[in-house]
Amino acid sequence: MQRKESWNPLKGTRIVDFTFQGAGPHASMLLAFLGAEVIKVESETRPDPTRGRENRPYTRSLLFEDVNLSKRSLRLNMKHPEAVAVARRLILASDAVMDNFRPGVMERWGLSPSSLLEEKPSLVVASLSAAGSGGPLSHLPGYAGIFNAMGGLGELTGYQGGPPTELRTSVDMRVGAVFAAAVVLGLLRARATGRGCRIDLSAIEAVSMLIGEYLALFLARGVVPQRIGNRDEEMAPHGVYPCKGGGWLALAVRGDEEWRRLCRLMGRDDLAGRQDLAHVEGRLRNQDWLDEEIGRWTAGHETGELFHRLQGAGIAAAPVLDAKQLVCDPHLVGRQVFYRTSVGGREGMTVGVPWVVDGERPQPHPAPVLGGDTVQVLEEVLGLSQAEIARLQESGALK
Amino acid sequence: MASLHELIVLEMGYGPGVAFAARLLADAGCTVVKVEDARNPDPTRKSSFFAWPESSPESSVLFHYLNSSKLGVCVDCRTEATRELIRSLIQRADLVFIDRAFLELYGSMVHEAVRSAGTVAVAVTPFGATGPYSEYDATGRIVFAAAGEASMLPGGLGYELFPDAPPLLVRGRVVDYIAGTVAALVGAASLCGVLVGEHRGAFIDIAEQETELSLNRWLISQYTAFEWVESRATRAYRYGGMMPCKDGYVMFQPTTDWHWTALVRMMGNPEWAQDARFADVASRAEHGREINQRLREWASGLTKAELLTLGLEHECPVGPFRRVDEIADCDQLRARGFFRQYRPSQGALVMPWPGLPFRLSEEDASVRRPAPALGEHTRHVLSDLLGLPAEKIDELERLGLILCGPRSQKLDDGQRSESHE
Repeated sequence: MQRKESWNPLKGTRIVDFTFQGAGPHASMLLAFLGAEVIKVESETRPDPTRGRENRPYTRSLLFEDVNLSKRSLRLNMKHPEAVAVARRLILASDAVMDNFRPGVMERWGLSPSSLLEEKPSLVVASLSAAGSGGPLSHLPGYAGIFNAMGGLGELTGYQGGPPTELRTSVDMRVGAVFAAAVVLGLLRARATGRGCRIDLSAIEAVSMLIGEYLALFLARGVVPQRIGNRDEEMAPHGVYPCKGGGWLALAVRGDEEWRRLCRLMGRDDLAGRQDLAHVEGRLRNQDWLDEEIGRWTAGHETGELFHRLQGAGIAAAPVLDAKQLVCDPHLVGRQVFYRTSVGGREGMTVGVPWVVDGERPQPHPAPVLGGDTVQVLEEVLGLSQAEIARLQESGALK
Repeated sequence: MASLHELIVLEMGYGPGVAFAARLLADAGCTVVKVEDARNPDPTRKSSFFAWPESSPESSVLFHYLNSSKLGVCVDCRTEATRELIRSLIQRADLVFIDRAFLELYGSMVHEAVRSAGTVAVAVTPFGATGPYSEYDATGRIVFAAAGEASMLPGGLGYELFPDAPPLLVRGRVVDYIAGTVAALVGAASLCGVLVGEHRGAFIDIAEQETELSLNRWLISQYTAFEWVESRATRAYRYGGMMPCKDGYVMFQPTTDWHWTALVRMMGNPEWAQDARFADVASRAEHGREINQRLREWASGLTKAELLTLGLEHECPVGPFRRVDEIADCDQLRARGFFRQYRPSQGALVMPWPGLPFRLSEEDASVRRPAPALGEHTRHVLSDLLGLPAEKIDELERLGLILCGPRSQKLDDGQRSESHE
C-alpha cells in the first residue's frame, strides 16, 4: 500500500536558528517537526553548551538530542566578518530568524531587526530573552528558575503555609512552546499580508500569560491568591493521596454527581447521604477530614487499580508517574510516544513529536553533529561554489 | 494577499486548552467562532472563584481571559435538528479545535470534513484520541500527575520542609494552556499551508499528557541512558536555588563561573567566598550546602526589591518570587505593554488586562472585542458565514434550536477595546 505523504505544513519554510540551551532550541525543534528547514548556527568556539564538551568527537549529548532533533547544523564563526556576511545572506534567503541572546548581540553583528526587516519586509525576526529587549529589566540575566519566580507561577504553586516552588526545566520548555507559537503566528501574518514582523518575546511574560486568569482576577477584584497545595478553588475533594506500596494517586471530584459516585466506590453511603457534603461548598469547608477519609481508603489499594476503577466510574484520576514508570506505561508505549536515540554509543530514548497526524506519529531525525550540514547549506541555499566554500574555510569563517 | 480575518477557526470545546489555542489565533487576527451548547454553556462562564464583582458582566474573569476577541454562537447541540447546522459550520472552517466532549458529539462530522473539505481538526484531550486511556477524562492538573514532573515536586527547600507531604501539582491551568499553545502552533502552521494553497485535511491528535511529558524529555533520556530516576529527594540545585529573604523568597541561579563572580561581587566580596573550595563549578557543587547557608544568611537581611536591584547592577541571575499584585505593578511589563486595555462589556469601564508576551504588530495592543455573551454572534455567523436567510434564522430561534444573545450582533469598531497608550 502506498504510504500517505507526510503532513508537513511548514515545508518550504526556512528558519535560521541562533538559539542555544533549552527554551530556544525547543521552539525551533517544534518548528522542524512541522516540516520547516531549521538551520542551527553555531561555531567551534561557541557551540550550544548542551552539546557537552566531554562528548567530543560526537558533539552530541542526550540533553542536546532532546531539543535539537530534525535540524541541520551550520558552523559559522560569527567573530569573523565574512561569517557575518554569510549569516546575513542566509537570513535574507530565509523566512524567519530566531535567537535567544541577551539583547544587543544581533545588533553588534549588524543584524539588527530593523536592518533585516528593511531589506526583507516579509521576514519574521524573533528574539527570546528573560524580560524582553526594552524596559528597565531588559538586561536581567535569567534561566528557567528565574522565569518561574518572576512570572508568578512559582509563587502560586506550593503547600498551604509553605514556601513557593522551584519549577525548572519544564518552564524553559513552556517558554519555548510559546516562542514557537509566536514565530508561526508571525509566519502566518507574513503569508497573509506580506508583512513580516519583529517578535520580542519575554520569557517572564510568557510565564505570566500562563497564569493570566489569576492576574486578571487581581486586576478585576484585587484578589491575591494564596498557595493551596493540591487543592482546587472550586472542586473538592481534590488532592494527591497515598496508595498501597508507596504510590500516589491524583484525584479530582468535579461535581456533585461525581462525589456520589466516589462515595459508592469507597463503599461510603454514609458520606453520600450527608447533606452538608452534597454540594461543593460544603465539601470545600470540610476538606481537611475529607482528605483524611479518602487517604485512608486509597492507602488500602494499589495506584493502578484505583486509577482504572475511578476512571471507569467517570472520576478524574491519574497515578503519579516517575521516569521509570512512564517508559513502560502501556498507553504511552502504545501511542509510540518515545523516540529511540543513540549518542556516543549510548542507547536511550527521548519523547518524540507531541502530536499524532491521521493516526501516525511523525518520525523525527537525529540531532545534527556540529557543522554537519555546513557545505550542503552553503551550496543549496546560497549557491556557493566549492572554491568559494574552500576559501571561507581557509579564512576561518567556517570554524 | 489574503487577510487573516478571512481564515475561519471553529472552537468546539469547554476545556481551557481548546479555548486558549483559539484565543491565540483570535489575537493574531483570525475569525474565531466559539460554539456553545444552549443546554450546557461553557462552565467557565459561571466560575465562582473567578466571578466578577456584582456590577460587572455576566461571565467570569476566567471566561473573559480565555475568550476575548472571539465570536460566540449558541446552538442546542443535543438535538438532531441542529446537526446539519453544525456540519455546515465545520465544513466552512479552515481549522477546528475540538475537545473530548465535542468529539463524542461531532467526531464523525469532523473526520468527514477532514476527508472531504480539507479541514484541519486539532483535538486536545487529556490522554489522546487513541490508546488504552483514550476514554479517560481528567483536568490538566490531574494529567500533570501522570506526566513526570509531579514525581519531582517539590524539590529543594520545599522538600526539605515537607518531606512527608504528597507530591505537588502545579497550580492553575498551565497544563491546559501549554497543550493549547501546541495546538495553536500546529493549527497556525496548517493555516500557513491554506494561505499558499498547499494543504490537505488532517486530524491532529494532541494529548495533554504528552505535551506535558515532552517538557521533561530529559527525564526519559536520563533514565533510559543512565537508569537515573529523578525524585523529590534528588531534585535540588547543588548551590543556589530558592532562598528566603526579608519579605519573601528569591531565586539564585549562579550557574557559570561568570555568574558566580557576579554573585560574589554582589555580596560585597566576602572573605569566605574567596576560598579555593569555591573556585570552580564542580567544587562549588561539592560544597553547595555551605554556600547556601552563607547565601541564606546574607539574603535574609535584604528585601526582594533590593536583591533584584543588586542582581541587575552586577548582572547576576537573581529573581524574586512575585505575587500577582507585584506583577501587575511591574514597570517592566508596563513599559513593554504586556497589559492591554480591555472593556469587558459595553458600558463597562476600560481596565488593564493581561496580554501576550509578544506582539506581531501594533494592532495587537488592543483587544478586538470582549468575550462574547452567550449566543451574541449567532445571528451574524449564521447569516454571514453560512449564508442563512433571516427568516430561517428567525425560525431556528423560535423553535429554540439556536440562541441569539442579547447584545448587538453588529461587528463594528464600537466593540473594539481602546488601544493601549
